[in-house]
Amino acid sequence: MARADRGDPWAWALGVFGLVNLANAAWMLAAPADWYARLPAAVPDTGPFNAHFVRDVGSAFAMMGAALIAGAVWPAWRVPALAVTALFYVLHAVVHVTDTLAGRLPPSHWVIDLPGVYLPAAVVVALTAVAARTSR
Amino acid sequence: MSTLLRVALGLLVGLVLGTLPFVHFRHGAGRHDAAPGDLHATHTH
Repeated sequence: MARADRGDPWAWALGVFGLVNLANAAWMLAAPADWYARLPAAVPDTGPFNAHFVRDVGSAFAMMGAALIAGAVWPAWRVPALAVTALFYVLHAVVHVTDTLAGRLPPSHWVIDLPGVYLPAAVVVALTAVAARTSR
Repeated sequence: MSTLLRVALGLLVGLVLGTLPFVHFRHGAGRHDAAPGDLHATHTH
């Protein structure tokens, strides 16, 4: 399988994004209580701490991180890796929208979740669309 | 575009996108502000 060129900006973007996803996964898997208390996203508003569920979500972040790094190394993996990552980020954003609309999260989460949930979902969708168009 | 510029652009996109969830962006507190070690915070309707 062909490898990415060292000057390929997609390789660097996916590589760094993948590493950060892996770092978040490692934090969730290794220290779920610390992640729950310290992530600056008011996680306790979503409900009581559950180490098992934090590790479950950490597993999803590990999968995305690995896929994105594969996309950084092998261009053929780029669109599938971005697509599955976009799917998670969008579904995650929908959960936040429905929970906030239903009152399960306080209205302050419209602002709290903007940088960490809504904006990344929009950017990953846009990147997936651009990658799919340029890969043809 | 030079290789250096393309690499910088890629790094910037990856870093910004990756670190957004860790940005402290709270102007109004939620229902509960957890302190480290306060692991059983619940909704307070």
